[in-house]
Amino acid sequence: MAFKPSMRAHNKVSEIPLDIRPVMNLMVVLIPILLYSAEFVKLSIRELNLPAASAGPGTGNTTDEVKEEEKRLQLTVLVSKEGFYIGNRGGYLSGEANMTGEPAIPILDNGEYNFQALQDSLVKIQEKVKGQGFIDEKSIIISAERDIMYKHLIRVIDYVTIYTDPQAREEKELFPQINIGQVI
Amino acid sequence: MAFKPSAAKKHRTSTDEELNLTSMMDAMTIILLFLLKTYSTTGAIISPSSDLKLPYSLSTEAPHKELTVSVTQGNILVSDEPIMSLASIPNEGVLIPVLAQELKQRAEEAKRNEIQYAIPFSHEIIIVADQEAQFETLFKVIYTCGQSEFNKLRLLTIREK
Repeated sequence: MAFKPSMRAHNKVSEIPLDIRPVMNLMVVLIPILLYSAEFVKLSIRELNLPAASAGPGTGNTTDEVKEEEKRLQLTVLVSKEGFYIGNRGGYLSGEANMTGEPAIPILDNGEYNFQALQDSLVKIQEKVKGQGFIDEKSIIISAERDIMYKHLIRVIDYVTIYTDPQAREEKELFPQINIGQVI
Repeated sequence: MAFKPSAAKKHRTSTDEELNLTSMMDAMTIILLFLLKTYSTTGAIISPSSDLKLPYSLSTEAPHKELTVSVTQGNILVSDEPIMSLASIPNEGVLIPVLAQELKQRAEEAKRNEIQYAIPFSHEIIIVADQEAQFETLFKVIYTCGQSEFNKLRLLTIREK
């Protein structure tokens, strides 16, 4: 004989509202935590490695002597109010070392720097320099006049480290090792 | 004369009214997802201020938390503590003595920590400079950092898309 069906099966199901208050509690705590660690402005860095301060005068001199015998290019970009000067240890590309001449890449008519032209001429320089045996063929010295603003300097670093090859459509290294120098 | 209280409502029993939180939950879920997307583990590296506006750069390298040297429009700060004003930078020479002294102390402290607690001294320092800072000031700061055993400089910028 079958069991008699439970009488409770015919109880009317009353609607119980879902209690979401504990979840709300969690949300209220989570949101301030995430808000605190939210990153609304994405920051980035540019690395600039200086040579370590020499331990003693003896060690510093010997390394300097060794370096003197190696081929150095010492490519320099100088930012002035009139434009960019490009040069190496031999002199500046156009104009004189004492900066009386015209800059290699003058500023545009609207007073802005011609970063694209700077990049183009550096790409040409890199092609010539490659494989010539310079030990510093990946480094570049960036210098500026006393009152050049930092934002221009960062922009120059952007254009000098990486360029986009128009044919291959990929980013290539230009002169990734940045040094900062001062005009004497 | 006052109105007569409603006879119909007099004997009504108060039923349990539940607060409807469903729509609020919707909003919270969206906020939660948005905040998770902008989540960063490094925390705040700089405290924003009106005289410290970072320059824009195409660099995509993510910064780490290190000792910071800030060059604002009027002051030099080391880890958000003002050290000196820009006006008091000596014109002669490239080294800034006050900053060098402060950085040397920090370097000493870092070295002590390296010995005692095995926290490696990275020689890294973040330069946080205002976008209109002048090259001369910046060069002196960079030189001073280099002379004070912080030779791995990181220039902090805002990432451009």
